[in-house]
Amino acid sequence: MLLLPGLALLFGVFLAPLGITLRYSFNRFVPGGLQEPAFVLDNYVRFILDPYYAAVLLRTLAIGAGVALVALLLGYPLAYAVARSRSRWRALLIAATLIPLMTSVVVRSYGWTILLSNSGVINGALASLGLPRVKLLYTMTGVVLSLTQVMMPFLVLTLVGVLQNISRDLEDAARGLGAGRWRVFRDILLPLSLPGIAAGSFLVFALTISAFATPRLVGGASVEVMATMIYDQVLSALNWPFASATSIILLAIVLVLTIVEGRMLRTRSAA
Amino acid sequence: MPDTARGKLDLGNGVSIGNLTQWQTSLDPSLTPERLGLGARTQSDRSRLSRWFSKQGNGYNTLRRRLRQGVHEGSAVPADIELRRISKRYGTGVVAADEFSLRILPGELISLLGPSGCGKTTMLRIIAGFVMPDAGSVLFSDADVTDAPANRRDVGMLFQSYALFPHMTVEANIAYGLRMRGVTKPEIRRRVEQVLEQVRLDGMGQRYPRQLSGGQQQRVALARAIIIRPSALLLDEPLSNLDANLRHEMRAEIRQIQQRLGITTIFVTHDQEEALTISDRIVVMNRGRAEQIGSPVDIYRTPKSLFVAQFIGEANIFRGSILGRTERGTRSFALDDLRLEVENTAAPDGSTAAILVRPESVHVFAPEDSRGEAYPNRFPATIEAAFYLGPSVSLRIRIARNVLLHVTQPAESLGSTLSSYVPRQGDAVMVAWQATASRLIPSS
Ligand SMILES: Nc1ncnc2c1ncn2[C@@H]1O[C@H](COP(=O)(O)OP(=O)(O)O)[C@@H](O)[C@H]1O
Ligand SMILES: [Mg+2]
Repeated sequence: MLLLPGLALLFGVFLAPLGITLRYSFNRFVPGGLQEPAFVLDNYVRFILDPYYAAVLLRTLAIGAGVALVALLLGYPLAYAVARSRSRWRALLIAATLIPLMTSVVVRSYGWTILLSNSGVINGALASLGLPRVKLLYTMTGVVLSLTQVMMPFLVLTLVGVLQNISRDLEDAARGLGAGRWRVFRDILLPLSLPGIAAGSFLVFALTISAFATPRLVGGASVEVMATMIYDQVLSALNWPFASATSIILLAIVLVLTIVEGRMLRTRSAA
Repeated sequence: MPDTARGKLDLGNGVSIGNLTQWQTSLDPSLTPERLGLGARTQSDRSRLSRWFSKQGNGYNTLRRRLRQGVHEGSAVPADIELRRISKRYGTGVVAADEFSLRILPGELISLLGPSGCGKTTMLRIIAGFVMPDAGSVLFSDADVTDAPANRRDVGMLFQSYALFPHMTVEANIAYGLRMRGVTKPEIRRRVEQVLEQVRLDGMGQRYPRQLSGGQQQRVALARAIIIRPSALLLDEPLSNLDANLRHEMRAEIRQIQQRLGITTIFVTHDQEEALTISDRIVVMNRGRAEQIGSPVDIYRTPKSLFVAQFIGEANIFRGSILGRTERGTRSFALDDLRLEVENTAAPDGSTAAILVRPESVHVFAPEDSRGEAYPNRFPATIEAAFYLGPSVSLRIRIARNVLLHVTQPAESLGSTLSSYVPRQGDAVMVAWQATASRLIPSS
């Protein structure tokens, strides 16, 4: 009984729109007149055949992978520090990790445009060092950088949970047996934290490929991703069926990855 | 003996060492003691060798490289370990080591014994290199390793948690140290098999740690520590997670393996019985300090402080004052209205002191039994409580209004001294003990 309100919310807010989107994706687009009910694969075919959309999809996946990778490289040491720190520092580190999540996406993205623009803080600093300027705003690099900042907390928190459960004694045992720091990481920490790495990176990847505001504000028109493209199809081209099909494709990718990841984790823990 | 008659190992750089023994020849297996015609090694040889090693930059690297070259079948290279005035205070303000000094001889098994939180684990971690001391130094065979990282120290450690790598098989766990040392695959396989047999785990190599019982996991951890033939073996409460029967069995086994391999071993425990049975020497620790260092017999019979007296075994401690000398060369001791005879001391008359009477040094007789008269300390008393423990009987006996004595008697001897007497609460008895059974404890 207690489940009902939750289920109702889940269904009403999540499943119902999803069903409608799925249905729309098979409709036919009528230029100027929105859509007419149909059951055709036109929208999917268009997405697959037009190399422009493939490029957008690839760019989206590349940004997702890039953000997951950069967040992992930067987040792992941070997560390790949090997991191994004692009470006082720990609270401080966690708070510092969470700050990006507590600021509005719009504010944060505008902050990044200020940092990244050609006359911005980063280029200003480079120029004062006598280094050439680099174009960061409206580039993939800029998008990856600013998305990494928001996504890192998700990765860090996932990893902290996993790393905390790896006893410090294991690291010491390996060191005592002759392993250097790198070997300890490679032989002990890495394999034992792999489930956390997989879960965290996947979460970041999934969140990143559906991100909208940051790619739009920091990437502008030159870094079009799936989410911004869907938005434009809905609001500018008024092509709801195609927008729906694109959404379903994006969703399907996340879904497939979820299943694959779940499988991987299960076979690992069964080994 | 003329110099030429002794074996000589030329170490290059014009350094040569006479009087080689097994551990030195293990540096080069082709130099058998027979070929070299060796006598016993001397202290000066050993320190010359270690000085030579430390002159080669990181002495232990050189040693290890040499060790790696050979098959080195024999025993480990036992280090002597010296701790010089080690101090450590954690960020939380806890003092875990306080000017702690200790010298451990090659091949010796020494126990660190003390209550939980006294700094035993910290000391092991400092020796292993996992924790940096704030002050003091750690020396292995005269080479200062205070700043050497843990992976260069050649120490085998058995963690209280065992710290087995959960994602590796038993075999991979045990082989890990050899892999880090670059030992060849076939050699690793051979030695793993050999050590598995040694700890009676043959055939378990392919299992994962979680598929083993606690006792088996412990033996894997031990195997992993000894397979590298470490110069020192550190055991952190290795038996505390086992049930009583297994604990006794493993205790004997650890001691046997340790003696066979001749590894310098530090055994941490909070269990005094364990320390007494297994150790060559015991260090009783309290709040990061070494309260007393000595053989098990020393520690038990002549505790140097109240802390040691109370921590080891059961103890009757009485405070009173020292009086005159007796004609038997002992001292009189005033405890309330009682006059005791205690061991001799140089302390002046009237000085206050504490004495220790072990429960098993007190004899219990029937009031009329004449054998009681052989003892200078002899008091009529009443049994307040009696507990039958099987082999022995534990008694609480009041010898004065404020003086309660804990006494342990073999159940057998009670039967014979008091015929078929079974002590009961309220019985009147005679307690008696020798002057030398009342030990004076230096007050600190
Ligand atoms: N990493 C640490 N940080 C802060 N305090 C510690 C740490 N490790 C141990 N301590 C404290 O130092 C004291 C000694 O600990 P330990 O060496 O583990 O004692 P033992 O092994 O004798 O029980 C204890 O009070 C313990 O709480
Ligand atoms: Mg401990």
